[in-house]
Amino acid sequence: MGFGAKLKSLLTAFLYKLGIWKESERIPHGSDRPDNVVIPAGSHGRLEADAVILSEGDRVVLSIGHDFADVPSWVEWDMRTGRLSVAQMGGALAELRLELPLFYKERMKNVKRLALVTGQGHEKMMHYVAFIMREA
Amino acid sequence: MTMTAYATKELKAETLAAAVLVMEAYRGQGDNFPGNFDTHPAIKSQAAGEGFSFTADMSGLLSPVAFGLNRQGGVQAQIVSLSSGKPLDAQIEKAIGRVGGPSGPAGKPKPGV
Repeated sequence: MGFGAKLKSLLTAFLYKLGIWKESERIPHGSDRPDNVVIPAGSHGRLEADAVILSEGDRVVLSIGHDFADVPSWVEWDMRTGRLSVAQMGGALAELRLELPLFYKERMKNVKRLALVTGQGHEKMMHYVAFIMREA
Repeated sequence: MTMTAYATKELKAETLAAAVLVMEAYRGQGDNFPGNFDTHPAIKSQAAGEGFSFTADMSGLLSPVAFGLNRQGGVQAQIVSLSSGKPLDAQIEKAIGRVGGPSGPAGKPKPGV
């Protein structure tokens, strides 16, 4: 460290001590801006598509009238809101309009996987995915 | 075992029809599902990455099926009965078209009542 750098460091410390220069001023403006937030690939957020859940014992089929841009990973049911969501491989989470009533808790408690049918029109995709219940 | 359905207020016939066909395939395969998914005659499918892409043959229900259909915000379930050997989407279209609430044909009060 040269003489100039030493002097600068000394003066900076002195200014802090006197309270003339505040700690927050050392942080460059805008550094907390969420520039590095990655928008997940796939269908993210609220989905307005129609949907139906068909169940018979432990067999469950969830059919959604929407073409997902990314591969579905799992389906989760938030019991606090009643909402069903589809998590996708790229991190997107699509929240369905379909809200399951609480009496489905008993019906779904042993369901570990379900057949997820997606797509508009007669061309469909079927994924056999994990099912997760999130309790309040 | 009783089959039940719960759906959004708006529901397209093909969304429900695909669910019914997949359930029939699921039921017929038990623990093998979804390995032999395309053995159901009404489902023409091929493996596509992590899943199966398929086209449902809407005339191909193997056996008759009946289930209670509840709509979100609805008060009571409607019994939907579907026959085999008849176009599935047309049957469903007719059935779910009848659950139209007060403005639907089933909800219209009979004259003089």
